[in-house]
Amino acid sequence: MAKNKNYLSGKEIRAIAKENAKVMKRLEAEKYRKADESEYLTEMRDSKNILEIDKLHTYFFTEQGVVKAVNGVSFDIPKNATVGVAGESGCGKSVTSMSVMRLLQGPTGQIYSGEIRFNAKEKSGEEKVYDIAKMPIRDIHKIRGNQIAMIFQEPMTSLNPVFTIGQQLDEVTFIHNPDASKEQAKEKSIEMLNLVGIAMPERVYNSFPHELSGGMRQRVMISMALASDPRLIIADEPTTALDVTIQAQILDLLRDLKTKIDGSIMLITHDLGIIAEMADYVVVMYAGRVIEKGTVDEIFHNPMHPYTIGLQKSKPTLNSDSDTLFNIPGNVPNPINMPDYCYFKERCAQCTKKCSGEYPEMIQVSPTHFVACHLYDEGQNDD
Amino acid sequence: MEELTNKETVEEVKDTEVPLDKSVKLMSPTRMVVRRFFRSKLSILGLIMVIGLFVFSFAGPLVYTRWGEIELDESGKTEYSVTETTYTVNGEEYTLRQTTEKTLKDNFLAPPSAEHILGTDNEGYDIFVRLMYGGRISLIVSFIAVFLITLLGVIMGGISGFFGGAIDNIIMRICDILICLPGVPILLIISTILDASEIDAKYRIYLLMIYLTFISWPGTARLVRGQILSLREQEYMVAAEAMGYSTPRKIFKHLVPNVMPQLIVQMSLSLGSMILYEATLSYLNLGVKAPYAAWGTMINIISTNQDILQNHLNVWVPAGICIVIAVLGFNFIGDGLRDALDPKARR
Amino acid sequence: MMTDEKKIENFDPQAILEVRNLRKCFPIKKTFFGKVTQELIAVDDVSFKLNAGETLGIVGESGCGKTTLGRAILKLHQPTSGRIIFEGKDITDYKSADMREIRKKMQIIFQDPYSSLPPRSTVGGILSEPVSVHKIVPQNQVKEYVLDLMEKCGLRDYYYERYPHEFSGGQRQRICIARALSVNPKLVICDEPVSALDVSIQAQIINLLKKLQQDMNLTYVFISHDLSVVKFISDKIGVMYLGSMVEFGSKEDIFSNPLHPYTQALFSAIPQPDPDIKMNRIILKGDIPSPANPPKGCRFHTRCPHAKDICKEVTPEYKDYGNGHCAACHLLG
Repeated sequence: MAKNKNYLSGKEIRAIAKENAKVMKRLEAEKYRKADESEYLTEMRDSKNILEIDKLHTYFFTEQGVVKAVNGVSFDIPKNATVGVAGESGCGKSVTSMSVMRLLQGPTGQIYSGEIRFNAKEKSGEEKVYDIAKMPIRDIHKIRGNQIAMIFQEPMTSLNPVFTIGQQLDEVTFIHNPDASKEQAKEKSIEMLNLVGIAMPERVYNSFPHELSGGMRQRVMISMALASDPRLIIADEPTTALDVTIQAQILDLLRDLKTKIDGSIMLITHDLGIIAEMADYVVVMYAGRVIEKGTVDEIFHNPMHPYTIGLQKSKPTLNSDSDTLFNIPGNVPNPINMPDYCYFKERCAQCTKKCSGEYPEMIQVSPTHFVACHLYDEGQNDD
Repeated sequence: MEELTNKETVEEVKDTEVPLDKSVKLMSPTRMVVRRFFRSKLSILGLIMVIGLFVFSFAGPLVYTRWGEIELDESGKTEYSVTETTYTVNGEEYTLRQTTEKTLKDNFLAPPSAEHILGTDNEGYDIFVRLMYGGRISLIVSFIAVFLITLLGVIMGGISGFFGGAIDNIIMRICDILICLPGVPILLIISTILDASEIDAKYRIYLLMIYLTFISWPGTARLVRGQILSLREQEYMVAAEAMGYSTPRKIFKHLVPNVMPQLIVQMSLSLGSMILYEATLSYLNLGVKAPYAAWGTMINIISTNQDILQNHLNVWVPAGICIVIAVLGFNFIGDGLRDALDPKARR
Repeated sequence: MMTDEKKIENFDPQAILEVRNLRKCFPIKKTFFGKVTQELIAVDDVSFKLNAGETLGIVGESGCGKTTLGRAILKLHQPTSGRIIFEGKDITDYKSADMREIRKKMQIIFQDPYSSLPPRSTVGGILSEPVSVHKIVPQNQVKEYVLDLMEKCGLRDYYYERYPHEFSGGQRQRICIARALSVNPKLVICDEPVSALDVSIQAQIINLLKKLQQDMNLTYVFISHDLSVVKFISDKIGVMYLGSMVEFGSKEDIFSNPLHPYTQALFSAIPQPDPDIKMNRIILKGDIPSPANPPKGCRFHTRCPHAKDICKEVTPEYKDYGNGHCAACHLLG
């Protein structure tokens, strides 16, 4: 084997594998354990929230080392609000949503530590707070699919090609309400299709996924997510695979639905334009950490983190007149063996001596606005 | 001011070095494949089996030179036979036991001993040594056959997949026809022809393997064609077209290297089946003929003598074990390689 | 070659590339004997001129034929009819051997930086292959030339020995750009070069393309679905819908005065990163019709908010509304 100092040596690989196997085994055992409900019942920090993610660490134990895809992420989703999670590819925004849904690919992908508190509403109407991160995988059906629903990026592959739209929609209703009759299920499904603005719901009900266009399929996916009256909808890049004019339709629909349904939306996207239009609160992520969060006005009118500022400047808009685009130099750092200091240091134009030190803490700027950057440290010390 | 802004853009355009990246080490592609290969216990076992056989067959005869492949043990063998004759004299029965001592020229069917580790066969050849020589033949023959099959398969499959259309149709129909041919009956015919034309016993097997190559390449050709059809749609092939590269360069520098992983897997799996073929042929007395050794020929001895099948296991069981080891070994390696090289398994 | 030039009528010596009435059809259904019974018209009657050193932006949604147009210009697809005139030569009927020479002057950059690089070659190998095949520089200077090129494209010299899979999307796209520029082309077709990249990397690549254009006097055809990206790099913009060009004009004209209702809808569909702009959106109804079965008359009439009866029957004429600003719409009279 060629000696190349850029590559790991055999000894290092064996050390990594040994270390990973130990941790993975422990976490897998925890995931598949049997547990009493009391073990994962907990309390919300703020009863106004539907979901509280607290210091979540989700790691991938790869052969090349531990990838800290989500590295201490905390944010809340208030009731009946839309929270936009923004960031570039590899920043951990999708992994965060996968952690909430507990859809991580085992045994490599594991929630390492942290809490995901979810305020679930039982059929009886009483509210219970579960810690999703500690729930054993066999109990997850209590919330996944009926309390939290997910809309995926790829409408082409998220529907099963051998069943009609109607069959797939009815199934959701049956899971949610096993006593429902066939007619009731169909009625509900048609109602759902109507809700998402499908013109001929009867025809779509009887058609197969391949007979529908991308935009229609995404509408069907949304109606499936809504069919179980979820308290939280996670939309993971719901419009990325669609054309601009179709994207405009879907965004219009989502905005319309926001007012109609009694639930919160967690909207994950790389497009700041979509966030600005849709979200009430914004979480900006970079390399597995939250670097800034606040209300949509705070983030867009008073961005504080150099990355947020750069991201907004580098997005070409129709209104700007300048000839060259602003760009953030460099690349997103490799997620293996992250250093202790601010991950954005190398790409930051305003970096100071302090930035080589510890990773900056979250600093509260206003009641809702937080930023993780050393530039704003002094302000806090003065308070 | 003008100059300054210009300089700034030049600076921005640079892909600034991220020292974070430099501290990160990746796993080299080779090491990743090797690691995945060795993660499976079976592929390690397969590798040990195959390497063991190679050492045994090729290095063995150089170290253990006591007997040659067609060297008879002429130390002689004393055979005792007892005849009993019963006759009656005056109402009394007498039994006459007559023991004959016969000294034979060759020491055949000797049991395992220090002299002959696995004993000798019915002719007086040393079984242990013949196993080594038989292994040589089996391995060489199957390697040559697999090499030829792959060569032919890559060329035909490559042409078929790359050009498509009528050429593809013709080659694929030829493949269909070859797959329809009943292999063994035709082998029998060819073997008869070879017998009639008095070909040297040493070379018969090679001629037969060439025939096997001829009927086996369609499998490889289809694999290569399928791979190339999917690779051809990759954007880097469109890029190669846009670069204005010549057709042979596109096929052999850009397409074939990307088919290599699947080819290697296919090759190791077909090595196993070629060894089986060779053994079958020799067993049917169509391949390597006596006095030369092959594993199949060594098992064939049982067909001439029932006594050996029942009482002299040391004559034919070792050859059978060798065949099993070889076929299993190559298949384990093939499976291991498939898991290691398959890009879908990459995480 | 002289005879070739004579055949071209109304030849504009300034234009490096001229496309006249280009059409490209793909057969969908064939009879047993190979007779085509149904066709997909990917590009229908597209014409434009492009001067040296300019950038033409082509905008449209999926299935509008913009990628096919780009590849047909390079003759990666043989056009069904129409002419392609490059540097004063009609290359439409060039055989592949003749095209090999032309390919040095026309290059392409693809959308997906992952599948457009061969996985089993090093960066150095990928970049030096075209240089030595086309004998751009003497064999002993190839490495030097490639390293120089890598520096121009913002790639570190130690990347030379590395494999594409070790790089991120942005760096891979730089490698693709370097490969396209290695043969010193005059015209580069950029087929959605930034669509697969992150926002902060997009800006880097667009700036790099702009800088290289200045340095090497390149002409670009920049294909994208994103109007706001095209705005930053183009001098002229063409908007395509279902295979035909619905509007064409200078950047200023298109942005200040979009004529075609589809262009207007495209403008308003782009989400703006400013929560205060609650635009009065034009939301187009319905889906894009299948290009295999396009609607009669004006192809846009099924989704057009201003469609009249005439739009359903008659295909509108592609007319010049002054200053080279062309559009095809009945509403414009």
